[in-house]
Amino acid sequence: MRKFLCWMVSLLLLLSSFAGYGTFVSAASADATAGQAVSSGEVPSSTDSENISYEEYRQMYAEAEYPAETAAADVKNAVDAAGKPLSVEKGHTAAGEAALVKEQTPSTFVVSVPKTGWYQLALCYEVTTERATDIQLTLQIDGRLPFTEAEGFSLSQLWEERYPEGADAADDSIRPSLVAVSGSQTVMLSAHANYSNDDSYFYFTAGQHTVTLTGDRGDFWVGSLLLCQPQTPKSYADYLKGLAAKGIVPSALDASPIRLEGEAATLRSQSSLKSIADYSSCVTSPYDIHKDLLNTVGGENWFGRGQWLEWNFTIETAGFYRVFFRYKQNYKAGTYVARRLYLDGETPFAEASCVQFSYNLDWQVSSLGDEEPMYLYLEPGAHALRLEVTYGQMDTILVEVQDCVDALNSLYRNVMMITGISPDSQRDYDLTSALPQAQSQCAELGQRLYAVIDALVAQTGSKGSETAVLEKMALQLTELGRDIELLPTRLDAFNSNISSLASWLSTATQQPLLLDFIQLASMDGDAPVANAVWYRALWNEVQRFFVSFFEDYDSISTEESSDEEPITIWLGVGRDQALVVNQLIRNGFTAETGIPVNLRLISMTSLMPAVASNAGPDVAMYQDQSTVINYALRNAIYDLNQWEDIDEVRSRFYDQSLRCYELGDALYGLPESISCYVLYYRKDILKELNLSVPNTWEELYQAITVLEKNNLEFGIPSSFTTATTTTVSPVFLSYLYQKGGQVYDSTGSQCILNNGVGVQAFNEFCELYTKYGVSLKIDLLTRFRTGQSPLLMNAFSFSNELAVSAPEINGLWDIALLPGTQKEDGTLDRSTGVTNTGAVMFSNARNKENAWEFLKWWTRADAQQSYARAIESALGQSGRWNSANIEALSNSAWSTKELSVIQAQLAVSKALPEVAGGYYTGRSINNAIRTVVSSYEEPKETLYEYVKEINDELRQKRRELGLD
Amino acid sequence: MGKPFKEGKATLLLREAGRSWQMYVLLLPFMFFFFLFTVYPVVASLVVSFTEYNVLEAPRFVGLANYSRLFLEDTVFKKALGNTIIFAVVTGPLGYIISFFASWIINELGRFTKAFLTFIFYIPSISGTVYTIWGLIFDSDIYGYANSFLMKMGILSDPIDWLTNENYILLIIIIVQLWMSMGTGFLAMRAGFATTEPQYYEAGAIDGIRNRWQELWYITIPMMAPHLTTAAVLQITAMFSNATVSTTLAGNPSTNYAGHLIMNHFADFSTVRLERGYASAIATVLFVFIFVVNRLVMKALRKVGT
Repeated sequence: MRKFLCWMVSLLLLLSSFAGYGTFVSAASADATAGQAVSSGEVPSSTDSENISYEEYRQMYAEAEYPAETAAADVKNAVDAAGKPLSVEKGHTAAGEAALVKEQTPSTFVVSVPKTGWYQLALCYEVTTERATDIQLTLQIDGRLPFTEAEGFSLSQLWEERYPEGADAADDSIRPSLVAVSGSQTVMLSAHANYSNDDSYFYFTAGQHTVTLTGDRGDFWVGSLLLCQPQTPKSYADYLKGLAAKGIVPSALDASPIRLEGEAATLRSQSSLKSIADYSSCVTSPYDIHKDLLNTVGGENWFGRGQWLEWNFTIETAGFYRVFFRYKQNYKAGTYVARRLYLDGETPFAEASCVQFSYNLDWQVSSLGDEEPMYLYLEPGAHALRLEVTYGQMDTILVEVQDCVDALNSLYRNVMMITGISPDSQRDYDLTSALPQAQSQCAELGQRLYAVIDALVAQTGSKGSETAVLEKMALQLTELGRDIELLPTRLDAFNSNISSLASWLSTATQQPLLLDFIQLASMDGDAPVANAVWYRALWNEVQRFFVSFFEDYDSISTEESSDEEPITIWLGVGRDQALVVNQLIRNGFTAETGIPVNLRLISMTSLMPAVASNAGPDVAMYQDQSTVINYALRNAIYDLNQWEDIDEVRSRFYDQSLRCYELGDALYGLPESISCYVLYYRKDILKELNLSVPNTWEELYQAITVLEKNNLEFGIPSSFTTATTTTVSPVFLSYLYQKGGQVYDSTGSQCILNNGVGVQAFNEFCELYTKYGVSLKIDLLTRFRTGQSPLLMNAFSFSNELAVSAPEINGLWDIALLPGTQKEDGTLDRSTGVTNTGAVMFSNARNKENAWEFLKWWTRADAQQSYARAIESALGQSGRWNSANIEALSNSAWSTKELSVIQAQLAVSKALPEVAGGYYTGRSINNAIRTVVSSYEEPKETLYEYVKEINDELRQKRRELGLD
Repeated sequence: MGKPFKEGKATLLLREAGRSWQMYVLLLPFMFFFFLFTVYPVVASLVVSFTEYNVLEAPRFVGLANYSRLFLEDTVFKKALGNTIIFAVVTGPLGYIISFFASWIINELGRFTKAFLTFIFYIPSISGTVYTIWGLIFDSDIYGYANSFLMKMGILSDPIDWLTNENYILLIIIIVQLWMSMGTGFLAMRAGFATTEPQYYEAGAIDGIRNRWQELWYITIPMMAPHLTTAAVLQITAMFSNATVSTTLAGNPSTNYAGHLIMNHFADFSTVRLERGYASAIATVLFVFIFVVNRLVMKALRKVGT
């Protein structure tokens, strides 16, 4: 309303001073174009090859040909950045002599190209060190990045499922672990953000060129690097003809079917491709009512392009085999998932490059070619069959949609910089002259999306929920194509449509499939059974129901074999984590020390009564720091400083992360995971706005001003959500610590925020809201994805969220250190608060020595590393474990760049000590901030009042606990 | 004279009990669990309220210290008490009246619509935490429904942090509670209306009842007395011992204790501050409070329809 009035007043003023309506209109549009000029001023020019996308790169040389010639890079004479030759050895890859590329060492190979044109790169390599995630490879041609995506080629390792000594698949209590095996493989390089089935093409002119490879972590041998064209397999008809020429024609065989059990896959491309125990059908093989046998493979983890599983088998009778798959695909309703089949490293015929698995809630059996079966000709001897995730015929659609999403996002940002995120519906923004291209662009994008919908319907045969998202966007675009001035009033819907389109894209690229087995049978053989008949299924359910009375689902493992009394450990986390911990304990701790462990998965609300009644565990894990201190203050936790070898254990962690568990001279817990805030920024948007990453608070304030001018905003996790009432905002702690302030005095008996430094820090923190207009509460993930908040602070685990839920902006953002305060000696103090979870030992633990052994083992670098690796392969990047162990963290799956920021930020971060009554501090500070911001109270007075309250509570608690 | 009489009464009772011992045997299982899980905890909490007890260590007897601190020092308790009274006085009777009229109106409808509407009205209270949708409506983000709507209408220019701004918290909690007030009490009243027999209205009409209001006041309500009493007891107890809405929407504790109810205070002390003795004192006070209010309401209800 006020806005509207303002406009009316300014309208009147303008009318009276210029005495002409026309003048006003031109002034307004000039204003709008000025805003536009700011936004488009710094668009990267297309000649800057380091910043062009793969699509643009392909467009640049669209006319170039695809020479049939190949060219091999000179592997033997490769050099590193300093010009030193790489060490060359024999016997590492299939290609004879191989050169060793060390981690983070740019290694340059020379190649002489016979003919100008597009080539693909085939790399034969072998990874030497085991790591949980793939190696991220950066490729430069002649010292320059050909396109931005060339930073992200991934080199996988070969993984094998291995059981510990003396155990096998028949025992369901022991799970195999995935171990990396050495072995070379040849891959065509393919960039991450590529939604196409095609591997990446690289443009080379004729003559000498250098290709530089840099791996982020882990060394690998390069056997060969070949410029070539992809091989296109022949059609099935030609395949048959070719065999017929040799006198081999399809006929029935006298051989029993060969079954390749999914879970028995010989090799896997990722450590996340674990075998799975699935009990949805009793036909699944193997199956045992009493046991949790591993009987399938893949599932939700087998989804990404390029992930493969391989089975080795031996054929005795030569001939044509029919290939059956028993699988379950209940992930993608209304559509299919695709796999590419390789036999002995090659796709036998074109049809096998896209084997489709359709959707059904039940198990299904299909065969290669389905109605018109296609047969594989197999010679006697050893063979390898591989299934690799591919986009199938979806790839053109995905590329097209990705293109539209990019265009829409940048259109949205351009419009928003003119109108703001909540445009005034009364105002005429005159978008037609501000963004002359916008209207036709909308119309064109709308048409393209409709074409995509048609293509989708043609493929899947149905128009359903899959296409609804696309249709909604297309409809809106068509309307906007007729009248772009509608956009300001529909900006909200426009934005949410783009978001849903982006998330449609990221789910559409996922191709999960649960596989029970592959069966190779004679062409006249019967198909395997897909599902049990109903009475058998029913009987099975009944049996399982009764079996459930005899199973203890809480207890993850109990060992009775040993004479020693086991240590009891309670966990309050997800089942996935618990299973991983259990496996590590069995294969690591118990195997090493012989101490049995009883691990229980228990809701942490029952911990306190259990401890009080002496029925609690010896050790509890994943406890947050305030809980630990609460127990410690009441003498329920054992002081770890009493152990003689504590100093060695302490050296594993940042001093500050131990501070969280200290009270006086005692140490009540060992940190497990660690977290602190870092700064996130959108590279593309900051560049457009000509902004650099702020290093100091002053620079941040300037950046906020520029952002606001363009209707964008800066974001911090809110103090205005109801959930944060007990924690002190790390942003506030940044202000405080950087000024040399502290929350409590050295004894922890008094809050000293009411001194000068505290008041100043509080004042500046409040100003973020009152003066710089930071939103009280925003959805950081969405705003960062759309670019509305291109600059924000959050915990570094937010990166994982971004990588998983906003894959479309991968590579467009980065993290940096938090802004700092200039010290007298000229250095920047960038400190902030750090938080942990930890493991503790209770004072009534029965066998303290053993419990201590366990704590030492669990926080050791190797155990933490294996845990991080295992949990990431189980849950994906969203489950990434940030170990508090310094060494384990430095070996974690973060990219080198990210890791250096995280480590630097952790090194300067300080803990907020836990004190008796400390819960009152976070609560009161939050109340103080809210009072200042919502009731416009004076910050200093408000803070005084609340600090007094905090001190009253601290005094009361100390009296109660007899600390004074 | 008194003493032998008393003995006589006791013997009488014993003889009476002996005669119907089967009944007591049948009662036994229930009484066992009733004492174990209801009577014993109430008594135990009364005892604990005279101690300082943090669960992990043995309780320490402190006499009336908890009570004196509660009534003399604890300003937050006073605030919580005030909030609870406002909350209960608004949501209690209002919710009760809304339930009553809703069930009266529904009672007039056809069979199918009756069942359907009863279901619709009762849904908010059976669907557990569905009121968290109000968290979305009153989100502080500019995309929260209330903010976004008000800003679009031009009433607001900046978003309001509804659930963390102390000026709005209690109001919102009351609104949400009213939305949920069709609870078990509503069902009891529906039953009351459903079981009122039509011949009484006929008799009333002959006796000179002129309109629906008189019918309601002189026939329906007195007929429904047991249902009304049940509903009232349920409503009062529910309103005074309510904390879930406040905790879910505004957090516990809410900003400056603006939405702090006695049960929030209790939860704060028993789970966050680990002062179970003090928390027991709060619970005891609340128990007495509810008991007294219940007696008063019973008395008032007995006057209805006369």
